[in-house]
Amino acid sequence: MVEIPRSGRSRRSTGFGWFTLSAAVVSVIGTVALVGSAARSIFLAQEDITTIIAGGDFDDLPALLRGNVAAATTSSVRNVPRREKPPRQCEMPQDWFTKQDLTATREPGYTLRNEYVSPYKRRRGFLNDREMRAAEVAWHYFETYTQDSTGLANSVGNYPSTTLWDTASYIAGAVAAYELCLIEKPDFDRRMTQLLTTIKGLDLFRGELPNKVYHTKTGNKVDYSNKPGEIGYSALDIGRLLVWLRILKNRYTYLGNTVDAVLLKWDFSRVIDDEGLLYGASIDKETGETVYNQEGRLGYEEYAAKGFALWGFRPVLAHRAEPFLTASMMGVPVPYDGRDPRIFHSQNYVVTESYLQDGLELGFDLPHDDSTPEWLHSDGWRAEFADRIYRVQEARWRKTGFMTARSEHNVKGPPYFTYDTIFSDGYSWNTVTPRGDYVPDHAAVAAKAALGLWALWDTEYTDVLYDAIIELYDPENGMYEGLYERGQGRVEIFTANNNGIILTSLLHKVQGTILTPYTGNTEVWYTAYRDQDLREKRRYPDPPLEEDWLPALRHTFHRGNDF
Amino acid sequence: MAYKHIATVFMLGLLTLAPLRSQAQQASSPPDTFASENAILDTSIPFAIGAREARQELRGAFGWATFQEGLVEGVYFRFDPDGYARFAPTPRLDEDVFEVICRPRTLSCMGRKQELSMFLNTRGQLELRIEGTQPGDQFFMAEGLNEIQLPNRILQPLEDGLETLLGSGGELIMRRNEAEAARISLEGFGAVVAYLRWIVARQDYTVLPRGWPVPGAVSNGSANLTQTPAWLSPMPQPMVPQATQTTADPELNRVRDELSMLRTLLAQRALGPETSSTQAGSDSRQMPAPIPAYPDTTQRMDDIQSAIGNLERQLAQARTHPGQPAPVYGGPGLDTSPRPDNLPAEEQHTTTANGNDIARRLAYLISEIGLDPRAAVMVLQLREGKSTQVGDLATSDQVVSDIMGELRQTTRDVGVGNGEAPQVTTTDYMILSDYFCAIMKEKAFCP
Repeated sequence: MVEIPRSGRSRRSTGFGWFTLSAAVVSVIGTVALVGSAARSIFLAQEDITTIIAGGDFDDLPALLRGNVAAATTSSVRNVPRREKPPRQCEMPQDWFTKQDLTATREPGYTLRNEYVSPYKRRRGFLNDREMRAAEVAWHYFETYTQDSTGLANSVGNYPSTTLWDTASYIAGAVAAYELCLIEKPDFDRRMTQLLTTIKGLDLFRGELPNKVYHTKTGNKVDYSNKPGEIGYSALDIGRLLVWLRILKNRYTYLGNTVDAVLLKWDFSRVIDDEGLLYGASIDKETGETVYNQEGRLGYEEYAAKGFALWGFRPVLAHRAEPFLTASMMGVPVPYDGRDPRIFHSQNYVVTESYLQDGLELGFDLPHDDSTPEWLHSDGWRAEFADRIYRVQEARWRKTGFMTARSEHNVKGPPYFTYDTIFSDGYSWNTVTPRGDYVPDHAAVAAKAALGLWALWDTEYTDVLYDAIIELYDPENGMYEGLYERGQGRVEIFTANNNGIILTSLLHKVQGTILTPYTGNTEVWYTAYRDQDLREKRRYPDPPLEEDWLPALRHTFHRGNDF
Repeated sequence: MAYKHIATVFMLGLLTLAPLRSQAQQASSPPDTFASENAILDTSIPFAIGAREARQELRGAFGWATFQEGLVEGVYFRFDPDGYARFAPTPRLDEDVFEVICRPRTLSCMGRKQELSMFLNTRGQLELRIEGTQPGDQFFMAEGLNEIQLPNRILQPLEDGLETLLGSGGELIMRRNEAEAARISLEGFGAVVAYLRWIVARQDYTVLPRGWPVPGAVSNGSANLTQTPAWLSPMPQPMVPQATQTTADPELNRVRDELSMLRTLLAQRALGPETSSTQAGSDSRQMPAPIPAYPDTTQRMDDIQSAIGNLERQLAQARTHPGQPAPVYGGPGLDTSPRPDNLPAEEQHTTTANGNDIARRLAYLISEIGLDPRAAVMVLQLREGKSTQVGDLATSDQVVSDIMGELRQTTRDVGVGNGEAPQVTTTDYMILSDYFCAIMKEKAFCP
């Protein structure tokens, strides 16, 4: 056995190990500190130079130049191809729809960007004979009731009065008629040019924005009895017109300057505030002064807000769903505006129309979205809420047998207008007059709502609605307003809004979302009056950049398998 | 009969020309309907305290920009500038609705609910029409289980008494061959009548009934005011109808009101027939129908006062003799004549309309029948008026007798039901005060 001699402290001792480790740690820390300090001193010693390119991200452009920047859209920011305007129906090849990629490649529900994929398919294809006949009759309304003197179309039959809302419906009708090849370009151009010229020349309400009602024969401001006078303006009506002016401008670039000229006469300083709320105007009966009141409730408010956003405004608050509540109806949480009508003196009607218009015209997309496929809705919560609006109406049909397609609609005879709602005033399926009287006898299947649902939700139920409505017309006057729910027959009245939305629904079947991307760069709307203070006074916006986009939100935690 | 024919012709003319909402759908067009000259009312002038003008949410190009809504006499109402109005006990105005429609550009309006329609004739008197009425139909007014028969005169221009009676609420029943042909709720009747008069008077408050809560009126605390702080809903909300305002001592106020009304009525009579006829001729729409005057109002007042004293004495006497049968009404085999006192029955029918008689009947109608004091006075006026015209005082009890007969029948029906009549005796009945005295055994309840 060999004995190993012990000589002082062994190099394998525990103490030596700890010493070595500590030394190594200290040396590493010291080295890192020295290197970091040196690097910091080197960076600090360098001169802060950032290259700014004119018009680039770091270029703080003066107001004089900001109009030249192109509006930021999803295609430009994400560098993806933008959607293209489809051809007119008569110019589509026979295999057009077989080549279109219309099937969703994602599961239904929200995406990470809060986009939404609906579990329902849109109805797409060529119009059949029945649908073409309905389109012809609906367009005949505008042929019959457009005034030669002004180019304005009557709101209701031969009553020579109209609003901006209904004028937008006329534009919708004209666009659909042209795209469905019911009229040709000369006729379309003549109509639109005359109309836009008239709108440009309208006497505004107190120099701000168009009065709520105009006489269609004279183009004069009138009151609700069609007598000369002024009553204020409606932010919702203006919002809808802005949607259709943008559609006109984007689809038919040659009309762009005329469209811009219309808007560049208007003063937007009061209609939208810094928070992004929309305000309508009226006249105080006693003092005669202008009164501005917040306008719009869940549904219409967001639709109108998107109209403003399409022209660069930032209606952030108006576009938000809050405050909203839900009413459980037949298992469906139906959203309604949470502002108490007893306090705000404004009703929270839940109807189909505003959701339809968003879906048909804007594809439930955000205003800056010009690239997402048709089945992906970048304004996710709007599409998801719209699905609820559809589902509760189908549920009512399945559970009670009542065909249901509810909207505000005209009726023949006083009060001439009915809010035929899904929910309002705390009651489901509430049908009320504008002053709040409960009038269940006015409940009806609204033709525009029925065909709008048919276009956006390709289901067995909307097939039933289609059969009920598609031949509901008078060849001489247009499509009837609807079919009374309690068996009183047709709602024998003809309106611009009903016929306009029906034409839009039919056009949507052929072309999909009506709004097409803007294909130009700068716009007169953004460049005009840059050398004056007029833009500041009237609060004309600059081209929206990415940070100006309306946010994409969601209000539920539904995932694909929730459905 | 001639008067009835004239009224019928007028009514037919009104119905022919009036733009009923349904008829207007066929005939008129929006510009005609909403033209400013069609506005007959200013919706900024409140119909009652608490009513407010509201703006219509018009999405279209036409319509009335404003309307007025409120709560009065326990009914909610809304009306448009063209006079169209709805009155209902619920804020949603969806059930039991009185609807008022007006002929365009005129002040001719008509209220209607189910088969009942009513309007003011050219003399400002209220007239009723009941659809489907046939000769021989009988009319009754029901309030809960109580029912009284109404004279067929309700289809003629209504006297003030009948109008007040109908305005007190309940239901109007039309029977044909003992079978019920129609049953119409009278909820809101009074408010609609007031509204019709208010329209005709171009929104003048002076034509509204006594105690109507008009702006600027001196409130005695008992008026039915709209409770604006608690009732904010401009539109239908699921809510309980707002109760009327109460005071610290409502009973005291009620008695004061009744006394005040009695004084006024008697003072009106004291003005004599000349004044009444003048009023009826000049502005009959704004004043009640002429009331037959008593020949000597002062004497009547004295009679009433002495009758009240007599009643009190008799009541005290009755209380001191608990074994004596209390006055009862209804039981089979009993004398069911209205005998609130112990006077012999024959004495009641042989005397003329002296103070004791009037006071007795008044007390009976108020305390036993349960009529509103004003209505009770009107019933007596009717009786008096009839007797004055006919000159047969024996028949002046007809109205009261009719009412009592019907009441007896009703009471009998209620008590008996479909089975045999129960065997009740006078000992089964007890005055309420005696009952309290028996169970409370306190001096405060046992005079």
